[in-house]
Amino acid sequence: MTGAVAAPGRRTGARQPVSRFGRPLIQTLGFLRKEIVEVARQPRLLIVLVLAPFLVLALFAVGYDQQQVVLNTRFVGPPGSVYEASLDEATSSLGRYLTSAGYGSDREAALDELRAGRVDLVVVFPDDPAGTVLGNEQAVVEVLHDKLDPIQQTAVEVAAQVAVAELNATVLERLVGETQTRLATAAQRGGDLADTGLSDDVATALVGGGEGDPADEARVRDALETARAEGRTVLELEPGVVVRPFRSDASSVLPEPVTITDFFAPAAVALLVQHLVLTLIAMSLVADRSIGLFEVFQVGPIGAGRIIVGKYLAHVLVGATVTAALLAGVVAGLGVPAAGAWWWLVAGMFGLVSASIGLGIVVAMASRSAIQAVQYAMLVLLGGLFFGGFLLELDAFRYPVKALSWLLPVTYGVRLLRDVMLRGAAPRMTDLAGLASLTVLYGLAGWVLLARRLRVS
Amino acid sequence: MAPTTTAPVTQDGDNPAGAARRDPHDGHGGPAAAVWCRAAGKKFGDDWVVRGLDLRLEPGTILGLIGPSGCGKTTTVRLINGVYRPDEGAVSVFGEAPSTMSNRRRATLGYLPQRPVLFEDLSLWENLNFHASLNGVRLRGRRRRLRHLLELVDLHDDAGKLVRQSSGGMQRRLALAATLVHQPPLLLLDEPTAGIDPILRQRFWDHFRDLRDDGHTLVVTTQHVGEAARCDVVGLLAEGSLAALGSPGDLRRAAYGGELIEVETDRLPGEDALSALCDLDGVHRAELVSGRRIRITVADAGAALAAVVQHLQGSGLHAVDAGEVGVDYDDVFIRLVEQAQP
Repeated sequence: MTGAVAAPGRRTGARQPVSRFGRPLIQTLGFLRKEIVEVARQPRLLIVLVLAPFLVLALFAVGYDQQQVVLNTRFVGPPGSVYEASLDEATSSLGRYLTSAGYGSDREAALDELRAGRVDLVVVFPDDPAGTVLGNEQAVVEVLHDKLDPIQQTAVEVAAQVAVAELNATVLERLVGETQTRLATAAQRGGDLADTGLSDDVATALVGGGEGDPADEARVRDALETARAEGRTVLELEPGVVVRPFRSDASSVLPEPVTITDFFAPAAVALLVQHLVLTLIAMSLVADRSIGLFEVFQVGPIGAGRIIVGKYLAHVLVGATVTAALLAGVVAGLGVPAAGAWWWLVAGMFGLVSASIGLGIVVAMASRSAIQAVQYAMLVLLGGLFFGGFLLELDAFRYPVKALSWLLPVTYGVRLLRDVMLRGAAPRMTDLAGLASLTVLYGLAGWVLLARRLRVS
Repeated sequence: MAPTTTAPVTQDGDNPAGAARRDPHDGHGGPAAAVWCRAAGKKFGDDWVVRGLDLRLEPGTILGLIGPSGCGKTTTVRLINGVYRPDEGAVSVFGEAPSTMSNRRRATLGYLPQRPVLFEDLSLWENLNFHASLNGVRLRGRRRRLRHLLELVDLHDDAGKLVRQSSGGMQRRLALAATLVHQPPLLLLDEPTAGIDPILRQRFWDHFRDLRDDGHTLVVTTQHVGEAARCDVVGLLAEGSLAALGSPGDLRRAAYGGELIEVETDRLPGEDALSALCDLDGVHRAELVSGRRIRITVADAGAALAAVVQHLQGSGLHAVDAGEVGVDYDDVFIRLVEQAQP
């Protein structure tokens, strides 16, 4: 009997001794084979892992518009001044940087336009530049903007400096030209005088000897005195003021200065909220499916709508808690301003969380496993980073790639948080409407997909 | 073999409404069957997993589905609970096709899948409470109901324990409690006693019978063939077909060709005595199983026992011991499966 039991073991090789080095190799190769087979049997996962990030990068490359953003500029100065007359010439030479939205004399009206987002820049010219310069000071060209992005702020400052340098060069060119013209005229007259010869009376009067016409003498003396005084004034001017009579002064109309941390913190909050909420609900649904709850749903007295509403309410609470913690962290911990009304923050974040939940449900329904859901969530995060206005303004992209931005809740969330927290303004209605639309769109899509999944097979 | 059928389960060949998907009434205005299947089949790809399923299960019955692994027990349950729509034939539950039932009507079903559907990070109580909510159990009186169920499955003291800290057996017990939580009229239990110790299994079956006595209908799949004896009706599935359907006694008779009695005589019976026994009315076969012990296959053990003993006495053999044989259902199962094979 014993022999009969032992014999099959020998025959199959199961009981044959394995060498000291053979066992680790067999065990290791066992894992190698198992892992490779598992991965190879998930082609969709492989595609998502390998191709999808490249697809995002390719879309970024295709959609990125390398053209420099041209700032729509409102000019403000005294009515009927030389500025107005020379505006077209100046803006055509600065066409790479800005385009004219018109000239006016009402500074406040121009600032209202800036705050309303109808113009990008307001340039305010000084009222009496000549007087300022003769007072030995540079005339200040005020450049006002509402840019949040520190890079764009710098770009505005550089553009203003370039424009004013151009203006100074123009003034200097004209001054030198006029001086040359006057000197040429004077030289011509002096030569003419020398050729014709001075009268005896005038010559006598100039040297102070003899009798001349007192009126002529007085005129000559006045002329000389004026020339001496003006010459003294010019001589007293700083050379820098003469060469660069104008300087620019760029400043923001925002309620508080925006640092680079301030600029990126709200965007990071929006991106994190979207990612966390999306991942949590997607994983929750995938876990429900993997433990067999969907089969219980199929049999039980519950439909896809109630499941979605129940999940939605739970994750709104989770998302609200996460959002509140993140916002408190960036405001209290990083000192990021929260200049706007808190209820707009609440409304905006509610919209962001809701739309992200909807997107998460769609992601879960498109995923066959937890790892696939995580991978999709990471792709959405990557998309948000590139196309959601986190790094680059939406205007940096061209359609149809730009349309991708509008499908991401974070796009609206980033802009909304920046508007409310940094500008202290109410959110744009387009952002609130966008989040509401995405909530409905993704919610309905999720509901349809879940209902299909729960349908009888 | 043709499956055996007795009330309260019948083959549905004579159901006048058989062609209708939604009207399994008996054609005389009687109540709808709890479960009614007519030539129901389900295939995956080109392979039929279940085919030609005919049965009518009256309310207040326990139907046990037994069969070897992969014979189609779970698919049959899923046809009945509406997860699968039959690819041929029709299925109805309380007069309605389960695959098109409204949510409200689905509350009549209680389903226990093979794998417990529980959340690892929730406590046993929280899991049960979730299933109660899922099935719309009202809040009033819910605590009492949950406590009762936890006591039933012997988990009352572990109510606060997390599922991931509990054993596989505890999880199965909790899953059963979750299935019962809304007191559905029809319970579909896919291997409820797998991984349960014999003592608790006995309690489960006692409770199943209590539920049956209260008017609930139960469809129970099991691989413990011995549990067939506890059912009112047993369906034996083999290779996707209902090989036998009837009461445990019917199946036993089908397996052995009748009922079994054994008689021990005071001396060794001869061949003539055994042949003479076979001539008796209602006796199919007589064989010597060991020593002086004769196993006799009869149509009705109760009626035949006295006649057999009397006949032996007339032949000069005295019965030392006589009685009906307790049947090993594993043997019944094996015989029926063998008979079902072509």
